[in-house]
Amino acid sequence: MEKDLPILQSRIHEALQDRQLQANLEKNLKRSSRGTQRERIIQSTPDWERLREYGRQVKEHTLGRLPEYLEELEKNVVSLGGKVIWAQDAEHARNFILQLIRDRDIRSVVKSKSMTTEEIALNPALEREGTRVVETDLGEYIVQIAGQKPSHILGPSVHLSKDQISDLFYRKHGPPKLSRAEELTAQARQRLRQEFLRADMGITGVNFGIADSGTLVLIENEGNILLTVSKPRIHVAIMGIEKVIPRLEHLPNFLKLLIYSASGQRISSYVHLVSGPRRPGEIDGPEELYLILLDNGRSRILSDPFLAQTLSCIRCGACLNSCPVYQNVGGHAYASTYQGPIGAILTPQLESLEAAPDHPFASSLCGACGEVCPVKIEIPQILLKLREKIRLGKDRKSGSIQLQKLAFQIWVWCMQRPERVAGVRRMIRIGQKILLRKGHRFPPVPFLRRWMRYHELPGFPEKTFREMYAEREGS
Amino acid sequence: MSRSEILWRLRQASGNHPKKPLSLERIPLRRSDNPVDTFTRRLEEAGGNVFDARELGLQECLNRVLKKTGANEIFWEDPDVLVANSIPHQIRDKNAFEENELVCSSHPKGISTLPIVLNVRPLALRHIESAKLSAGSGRLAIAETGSVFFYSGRRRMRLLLGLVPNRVTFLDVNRIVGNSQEAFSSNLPLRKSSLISLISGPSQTGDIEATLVRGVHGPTGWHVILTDPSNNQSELSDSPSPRY
Repeated sequence: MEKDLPILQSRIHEALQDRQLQANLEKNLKRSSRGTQRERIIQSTPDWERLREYGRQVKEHTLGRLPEYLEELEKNVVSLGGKVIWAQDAEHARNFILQLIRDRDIRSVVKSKSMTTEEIALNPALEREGTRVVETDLGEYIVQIAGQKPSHILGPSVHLSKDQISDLFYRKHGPPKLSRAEELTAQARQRLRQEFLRADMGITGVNFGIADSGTLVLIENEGNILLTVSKPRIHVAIMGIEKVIPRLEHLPNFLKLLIYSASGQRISSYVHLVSGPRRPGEIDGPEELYLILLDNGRSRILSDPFLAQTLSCIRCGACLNSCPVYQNVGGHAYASTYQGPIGAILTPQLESLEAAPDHPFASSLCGACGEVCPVKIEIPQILLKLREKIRLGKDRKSGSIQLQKLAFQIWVWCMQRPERVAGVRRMIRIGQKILLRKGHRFPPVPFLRRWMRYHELPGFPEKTFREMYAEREGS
Repeated sequence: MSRSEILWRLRQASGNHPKKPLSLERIPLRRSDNPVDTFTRRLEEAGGNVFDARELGLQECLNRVLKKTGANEIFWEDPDVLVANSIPHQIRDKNAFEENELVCSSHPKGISTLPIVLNVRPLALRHIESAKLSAGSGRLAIAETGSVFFYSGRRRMRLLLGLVPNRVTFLDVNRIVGNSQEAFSSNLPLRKSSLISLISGPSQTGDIEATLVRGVHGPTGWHVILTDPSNNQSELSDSPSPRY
């Protein structure tokens, strides 16, 4: 890591110098057809902007009445035979699951892709307990056996090439060495099949929780969620409290917003509506269903009416795919559960500004994220707001806010009279005769070192335009 | 304790938000002129196969599915599939269905004959794992996405849907609605069925270098046979009535 740089910046530097990663990102992200498919389907949807506005309004309304809708969801889940657990933080959620595993003598767990379980660092906790836990989404499975973390909300293995995955499977599964994506997928399918059949517990996330029916909506393409909620005798669903939507009638539009933005598909291969554990007479399905409602900092985010829109996110990943920073550094550079623009605004709010002070600065503020967001989250504006908060916090701490005030007072004093400005200019010209390097730029200034790493500070010209003009007129 | 604490915090926090009623602009529904054609086109775009029994006849459709999948046995999720779609069938042991056994029909050399003769197998995972083709009914379908609804319920096994590499769904064309808004406002049996799955083609992934691979954990082959029980197919009208 480069010395003297904050962790995030060091990781960004490392990512930019990693040729393999750069080649993988180029192929898997920049040249992938995902963005084109998204554009194509959105262009063929004349009501797309109306849909976005619909999504924004429903989310805004729901966040304003979040406690009421969560209570309604709880009541309906319970009436369907499920149990609801409210977890104020990651530890609380983990502890509940660990206790359930002990009480029910669970030996093996299958999991579907869930950012919320990544957020609460569930896998390491289960492994420490001696429970076998297997990720079943292909991308998640790949990063799990590689000992890595997902690098994209939807494509966890987007940072890896097919050859790297082939090597990994050969190392972990043994011969034969496979080279085609179809063969690698078939091998993973075969391996994971037995895991599904022996698992006692299935853990999933939740895409939407429907308050008026108590239904949990799970969306997927691979069929792993279907098996996760079919064979194991216990289903644990973990849901961030912001995922609730009021009524089933809102779902079709949210499906469009999410799936069009995520993959450019017209619809995912599977949309599951889970309404409680198995009913009497049903042959399979879980005997017990637990819904964990996770706060973990979300209620804090909700308390700021402007920043609360962060909670409208439906985790489509469109902002990652459109972000020039993410496209060039990948997800691991962020060193956080959530990457890309949404990670840059969510991480410092979920954790704290002190814990992730560089995240809001990992953006060029080009605005692409805000333009593609299907629920119109003003990501660039939130980035600026967070930057302002971080800057103010740092300045207060270091006392530099007093210095800034003094500097501005001097500036105001100078700018009040033209002769004062001219005086300052003369002084700078005299000073820069000693300081200027090669006659045209300043050497690194200690307190501007970071800024000057990427910028030049040119010297003042010998004469101003007015002076040159006056000379010319005079001659 | 967490519950009341979280709710208290949320009440405090959401108190800062304007309490606007939800007045949403109605987004016009784009209705399909021909839902069956739209359904067929969309499902085929997603990698599924559609066979129209109204044109080809039921037996020919089944033969084509058997040929495509290389199966010589069909595992039926529910004998009601045959009844609901007016598929002539005979059953060897009619008590079997009450005992949660697997129901299958044999089709030597991959050729179907009507009436379909149903046998039973013990409900064992090894049978499901070795099965090549399962069959079920589409309870409802959406034209604009080529999707079919599966409802869990008595006798309907989720694993038959999830584990068997090929699935054939018999779909009454009268159950195809134009779009998802219509489908989701059609009184889905959320309180009766613990799982309702909206399935729109074979399982797939793009997790390895964004290469589309069909057939991951769920079925690789996704086939739909369109039927119209209200307007019996000619070949069925001469068949013996179901003995069920």
